[in-house]
Amino acid sequence: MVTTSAFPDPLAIYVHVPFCARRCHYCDFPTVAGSDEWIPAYFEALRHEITGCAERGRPVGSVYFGGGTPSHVPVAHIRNTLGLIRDTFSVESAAEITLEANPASAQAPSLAAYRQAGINRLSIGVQSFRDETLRSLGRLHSADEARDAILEARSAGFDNISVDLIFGCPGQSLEDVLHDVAAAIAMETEHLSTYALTVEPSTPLADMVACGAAVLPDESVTAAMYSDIIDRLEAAGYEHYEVSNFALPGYRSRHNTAYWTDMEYIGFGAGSASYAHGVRKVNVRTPMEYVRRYRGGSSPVAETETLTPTQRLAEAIILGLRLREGIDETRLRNRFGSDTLRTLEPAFSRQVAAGTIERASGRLRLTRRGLLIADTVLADLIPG
Amino acid sequence: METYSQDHIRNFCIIAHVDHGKSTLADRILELTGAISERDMQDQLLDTMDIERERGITIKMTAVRLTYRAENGQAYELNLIDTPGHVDFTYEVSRSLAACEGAVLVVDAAQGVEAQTVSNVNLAYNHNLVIIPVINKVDLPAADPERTREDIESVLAVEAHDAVLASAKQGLGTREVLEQIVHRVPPPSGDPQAPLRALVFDSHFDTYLGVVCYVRVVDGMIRPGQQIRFMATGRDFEVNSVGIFRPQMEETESLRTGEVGFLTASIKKIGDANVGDTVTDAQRPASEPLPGYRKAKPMVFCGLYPVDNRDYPDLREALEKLQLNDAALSFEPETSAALGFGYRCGFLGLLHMEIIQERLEREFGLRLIATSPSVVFRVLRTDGTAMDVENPAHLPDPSQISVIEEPYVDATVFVPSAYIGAVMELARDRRGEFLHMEHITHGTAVSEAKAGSQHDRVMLHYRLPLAEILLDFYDQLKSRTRGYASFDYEPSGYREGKLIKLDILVNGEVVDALSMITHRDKAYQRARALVEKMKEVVPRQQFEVRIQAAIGGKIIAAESVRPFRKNVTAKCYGGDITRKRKLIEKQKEGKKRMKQIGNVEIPQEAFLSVLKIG
Repeated sequence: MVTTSAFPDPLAIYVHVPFCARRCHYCDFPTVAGSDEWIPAYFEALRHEITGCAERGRPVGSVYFGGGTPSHVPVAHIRNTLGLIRDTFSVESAAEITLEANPASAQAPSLAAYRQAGINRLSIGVQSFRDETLRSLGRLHSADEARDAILEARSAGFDNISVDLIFGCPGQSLEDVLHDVAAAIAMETEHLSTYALTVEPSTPLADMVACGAAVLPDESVTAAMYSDIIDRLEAAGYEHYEVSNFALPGYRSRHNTAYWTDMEYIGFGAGSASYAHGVRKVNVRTPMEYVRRYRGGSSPVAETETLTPTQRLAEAIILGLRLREGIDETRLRNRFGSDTLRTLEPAFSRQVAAGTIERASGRLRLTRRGLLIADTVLADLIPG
Repeated sequence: METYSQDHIRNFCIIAHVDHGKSTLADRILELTGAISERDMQDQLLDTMDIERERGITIKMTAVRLTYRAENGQAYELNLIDTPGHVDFTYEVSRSLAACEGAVLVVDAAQGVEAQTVSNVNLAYNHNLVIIPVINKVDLPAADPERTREDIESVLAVEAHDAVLASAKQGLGTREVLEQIVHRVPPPSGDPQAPLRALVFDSHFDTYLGVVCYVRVVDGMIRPGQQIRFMATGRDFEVNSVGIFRPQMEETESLRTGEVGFLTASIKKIGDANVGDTVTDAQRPASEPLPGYRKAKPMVFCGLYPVDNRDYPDLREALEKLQLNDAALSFEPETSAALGFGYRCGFLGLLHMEIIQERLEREFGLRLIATSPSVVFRVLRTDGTAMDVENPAHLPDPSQISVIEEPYVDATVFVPSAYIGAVMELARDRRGEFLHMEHITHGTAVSEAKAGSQHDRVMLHYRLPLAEILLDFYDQLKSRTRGYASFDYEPSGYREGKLIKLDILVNGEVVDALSMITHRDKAYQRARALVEKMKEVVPRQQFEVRIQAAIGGKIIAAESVRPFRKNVTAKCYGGDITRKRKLIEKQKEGKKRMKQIGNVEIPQEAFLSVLKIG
């Protein structure tokens, strides 16, 4: 018998399913709508990428089907892909296996089938429990459908459900957001992600904002929304463990935590990212190009980045501080050296004095004030 | 190489307003005389610095020797001396004109005579040069050669009956220009037997040769091994080499009376061989130097500070290197409470200042903060002593000031008569004193038909405080006259003014580098405009930034930059991580270009805000 410590750390595996019934106004992910004829070819290409993976045979602690809308494609594709991953890697028996589902496409029969296939965590893209907000985002489902989806998931036996909410939507008030949060708490899901709406360039939302068709809340309002969301969810027993993520005790996302703690991960599919042996690779963004690369026999990797020690340190600081528990200073020092850490000390002290970060029991973490302006604070703290 | 008798030498320069085609004509002349065989070199060969080519102006002059076989069958030695084309460099222009007997005057057939043309022609007259008018760009649809000819005669009083009609772009008229040079420009008149006198009309520093002096031999001759003396500085050197530019440097045995070329003599400092100085023979010195020497005197000062204080020694080194080539650049260490250690630098004018700043950033990779430019104020103190103030922060306490004087200039503005009102308004707004106005009218029927239109022009003369020109006077003039106005000025002494110091406070602290001296009546307007401009350029940050303007501790204008309330990326999963890190790295890079004052980050532009608030 070998002890588990003789194995490398378990991998996190991400599978990107880019297909959607319709693109939302704000979306700039690698997704396509109305191109379902590509689905079989895409999964064939995925199959090829998985079986050819250089990390074959390694233990896997989590699998995550993200999108896009994984619930939009026939369940068989998900089942087969997961089966292939189990054949190719050593997926732990207690692995967290998540699927992102859209309330519009997550109906009872398929939910049961996911469960049977081995999916043990559902992440439901609710976004809001108000129809008006859902329309402003270009979502296909209603608030009632969202509630039904959660209840059906429970009936199907899912005991680890996450709900996504978006705040700072066009026309949304602070009261609207608090209504959404209260509705989410009432659903008693184990996990919640609340994302501030980001207007990405070249999205329909960006055009709507530019021409005045969509009016976003003022920054001071979104700041209050964010702050109140944190207060309400913490009061309801959720742990705020990352900028946008909340969980009941024991239900933090193992998969996403891997991204933030310098664990290795492998992404399959269009636009997905891998990080192993200090190298980050990102695949081509469009599903069609991804399929073409497979057919043409070339690698789907579009970008490769070998992280320098400085970049690794920057990421350790950025990702570490985005975690609410913050950074273990001793670990950081052991990893990057005392001399390097000393050069960062002036910025650390400056931000401590400014009340944006705090030091307690050997950890460095963002204060609430620092959390709200984390990007500004992080720009001061990273090396360079 | 063949040598030419003194009567077969012609020394000439080309004078023109910016963009009237001086450099293109020079290129054509170089081609026609075989100095460059093909257009395989860059356009406008004479301008050798990148910045010059980008800005389309000539900063450093060069002198090229050409051989021209004229239509009379005889070969001539032509020396083309290039001149800088900007008002900042008037003295340099005058020195290169002094090295010539003739000037080719290029006037754009569509634009006509401009303010700079007038000042250049006046300079040429002062040096008794024969002027050969060339009406250029006759191929343009808007060209009006006849009117331009009249302009040249009536405005410049230059006989233009035989003006060459040219299109330098198309190579039209180049030979005729050369023929006129040969036949109308007199040969140099110096005495080959007299003691050496040579005019230094430019110089540059070469790492291997030391200072390379561009000289015009007026009397006698120079050869290697000769002991020479610079008469203004009294410094003696032994000549290492002499030669000419064809346009590449080429050594010769000597430079003889009337010739133009270079000399090197292991001269380490450009300040030992000043432009305008006279070179003579140390053993047999001339009794009198050539007339017209004056030391380059900076007119405009600003503080230059490294964004990162650790770059301070590099800044010094870079300034020293630039000074090797630019005797008009001066610098002295200064400290600012806000900006740390830097240098107070003196320039001939605004353009000169911008060029130096750009070269420091581009060629030496320095990140700099430049404080707003200032003129030199003269302060008479109550105790009877006087002082020059180059830095507004150094103005004494008002109780110690008896009188403040500021430098004035006499400015000439050329403008279509339709814009007289606009120019007068601007000049009045800038405390200008109207001197007089001349109408430029044309006698022919053609011109009368255009009378009252934009072709009817006036020359306005104003006396203006130089400080008012440092603000965006030229930009304003251009925009208020739709680009039709041209402008030139020369210093006209000091006058008393009701001047006060305006301080800028950031979060309650005076930023000395932002202080300015301004006229009392304009202080409120300036203060308001300045704080508003600062509000625009100071980015939002962690804290609120209060920006105030004050006179002697009394706040007269205030604005504030709201802090970030929320600035945090929502999603940061696998593929987002690289993007997110790069975003934050970029933000960090941006911060590096800013100056930390207290806990506020101030971008470079903020320090030049003062310039944009005219």
